[in-house]
Amino acid sequence: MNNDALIKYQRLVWQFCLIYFSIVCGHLVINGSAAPFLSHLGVKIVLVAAVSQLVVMAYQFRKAGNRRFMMLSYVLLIVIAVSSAIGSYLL
Amino acid sequence: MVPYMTIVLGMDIKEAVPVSMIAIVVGTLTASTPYLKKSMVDTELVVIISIFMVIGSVIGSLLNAYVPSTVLQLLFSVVVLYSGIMMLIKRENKKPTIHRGSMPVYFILAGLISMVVGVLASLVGLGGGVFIIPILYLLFGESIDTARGTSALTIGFAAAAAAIVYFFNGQLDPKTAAPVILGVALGGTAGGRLGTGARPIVVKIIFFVIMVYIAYKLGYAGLKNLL
Repeated sequence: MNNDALIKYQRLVWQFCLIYFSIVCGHLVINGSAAPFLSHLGVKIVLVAAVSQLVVMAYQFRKAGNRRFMMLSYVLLIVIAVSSAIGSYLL
Repeated sequence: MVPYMTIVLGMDIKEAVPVSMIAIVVGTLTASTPYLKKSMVDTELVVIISIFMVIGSVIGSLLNAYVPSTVLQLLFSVVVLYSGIMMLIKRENKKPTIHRGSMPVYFILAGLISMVVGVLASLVGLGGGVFIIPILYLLFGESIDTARGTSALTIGFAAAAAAIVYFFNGQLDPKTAAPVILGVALGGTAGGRLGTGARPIVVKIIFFVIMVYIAYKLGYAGLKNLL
């Protein structure tokens, strides 16, 4: 299967992490008032980006005509959401 | 990651574990790119394994209070050591124990094994890679390179599920996580590139050393609790 879309997506996330968290670390070093907000937002974006990989994978499977694994990618997305909700509720 | 943060940085384990989870997430996002480029990732297996591993991790965290950790630590010390030795001595391109020919059977077996891995990794407190790489290599007949690449992407999803839970429960401190994310983003790509360029025998030896170290840590912790 052609993984170009996933590679491009990961590269984009990597570049974002480098630029964004360099700024956040700069703020942390100088005790900037925006540091808590920026770091909180950054972690949220990273978590969403990690789970969103599944949408990219589903797109790749669809392009390759592999509908079974396209559906399974979305199933994994739902499993992660449900297990996170269960974990958050129980902890 | 957790021993470094607790021993070297003096962080509390309850603070270190959530930060290590987000580090794994970023690590897999960045380190798996070179593996994907060299077609060293079986994305179909990633999806199957991840579904059941995430479910297994939740079951494992629920069982945590009821299962004696000492027995598990001692048992897995032996299992990890055995897997490490088998990986070192077993040759590539051997016949896989679990064949891909029959899709439903393959799916069920891969799912069951992944779920067990998720439960065990959660109970013992280890990343799934320690179990996933030997299973892919020894049972599924994947090459050591594909096993590493597939594992690199797989453990990210289980770690993401755990990190989301920690984050929404307020156990993940974003200010501590920010420098770790930056460091992992810088080091992850370099690690991935080094990993894809390494010769399989070198990888096997490095993995064997890591497995022996983990077996020792688990065995020592188990014996310490027992005595």
